Amino acid sequence: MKTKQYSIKVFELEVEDRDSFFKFIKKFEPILNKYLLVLNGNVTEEIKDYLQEKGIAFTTDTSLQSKSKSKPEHIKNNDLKIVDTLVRSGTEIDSSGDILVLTRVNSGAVIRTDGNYLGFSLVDGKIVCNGDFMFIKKSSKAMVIFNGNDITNKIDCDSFYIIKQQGDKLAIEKYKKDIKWV
Amino acid sequence: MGIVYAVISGKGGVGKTTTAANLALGLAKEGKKSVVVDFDLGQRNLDMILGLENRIVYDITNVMDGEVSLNQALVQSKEEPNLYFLAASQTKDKSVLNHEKVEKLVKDLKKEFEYVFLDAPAGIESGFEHAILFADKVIVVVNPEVSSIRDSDRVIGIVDAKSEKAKRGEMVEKFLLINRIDPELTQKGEMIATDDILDILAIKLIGKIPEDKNVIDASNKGKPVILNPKSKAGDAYKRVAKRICGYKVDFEDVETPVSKSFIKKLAGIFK
Repeated sequence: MKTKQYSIKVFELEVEDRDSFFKFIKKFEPILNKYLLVLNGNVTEEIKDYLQEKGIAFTTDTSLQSKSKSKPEHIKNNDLKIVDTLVRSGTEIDSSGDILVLTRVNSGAVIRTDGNYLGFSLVDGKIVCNGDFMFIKKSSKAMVIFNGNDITNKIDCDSFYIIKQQGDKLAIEKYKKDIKWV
Repeated sequence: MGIVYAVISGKGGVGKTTTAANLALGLAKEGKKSVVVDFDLGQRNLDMILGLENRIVYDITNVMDGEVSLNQALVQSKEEPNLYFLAASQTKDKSVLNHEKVEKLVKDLKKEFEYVFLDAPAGIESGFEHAILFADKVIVVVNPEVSSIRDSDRVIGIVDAKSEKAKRGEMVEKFLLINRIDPELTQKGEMIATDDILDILAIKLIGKIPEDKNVIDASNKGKPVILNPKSKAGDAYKRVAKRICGYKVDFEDVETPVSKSFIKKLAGIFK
């Protein structure tokens, strides 16, 4: 048996309306010919037939979609929420924008944010962050979820971490400097 | 006007009732007219710990329903005339509690006594909520272990949200009493250290009570451990009572085992 490995370049397209799609396809047909198209949106039979006719490879398999496409919307609304009282067990904090937590997050407390999470004290509770990055120090009891990924076991308890979303990957970086408060 | 202390913990079995009984007795011994109220309706225990179980004629529900006056229901301790006790009902449950009734009762108690201790039930249900409703200050009893600390954290949050004082925008003063500290386990690092508990709960420490076998015997005999001059826990409760009175009493080292503290003392002599 012979095996070969290929790297395929993929073009992602979202079909918004029929006319603009055909206009686009006809214009860039010579280029798009060389790529695999990942289509989402309203992919009608007409579109599929047309692409087959032209010999353009395409798929509607959504698992091939890049995650970077869904850019978080919070960047527009820059409302920063500041938490400066101890987050006790049983407390739930939901934030649509960025959140700055200066105090401890105790065991049994939950903070959810669609923006970035910046925590400057130890976390014993649960943090769910859907932003671009988070800054966190957790204890062994904590649970950390970043953009749907459970990263609890990917960060140690000894220091602060910066976790960033870079394309489809997560960049987890230890923050080496000591944080000193004036 | 007296000061109302609610003794709370969240988790059961950490020593709320023992603490309420000993502190009320301790303050009575300091010459303060004190009353301890059992708020655990349907599961009263405080009467046994105080050794007053056979002297209860009326209980808290009779008073709240207006069937008898407060003075008729209060039981005075024979050993310590400054100490009074108001029993919980053993037959009714906490559904008889309501906002107005509790408010009137607490107000009446405040008029009569310098210190009012409310022994709250475990859990965070209506019994607990009524006990903290009109408290001026709370004493949070915690054992040095994770579940007790988390439950305490939860009840502190509820006090901050639901007590009448908090609703008026005032802060309810919260004090931490760490109970059942086992020196041996603390030395081995198997028990959570005081500093760590204070880090998590972030309230003021009022006392550290060591684990003491005398406490069980004291409860069974109905003589609070504070009356036992040989008991370490009793001594610790005495110090807490003094702190509540406003005296400045240093925190004793209850974490070092006896043998080691003896060596420490010896070493101190030769320094």
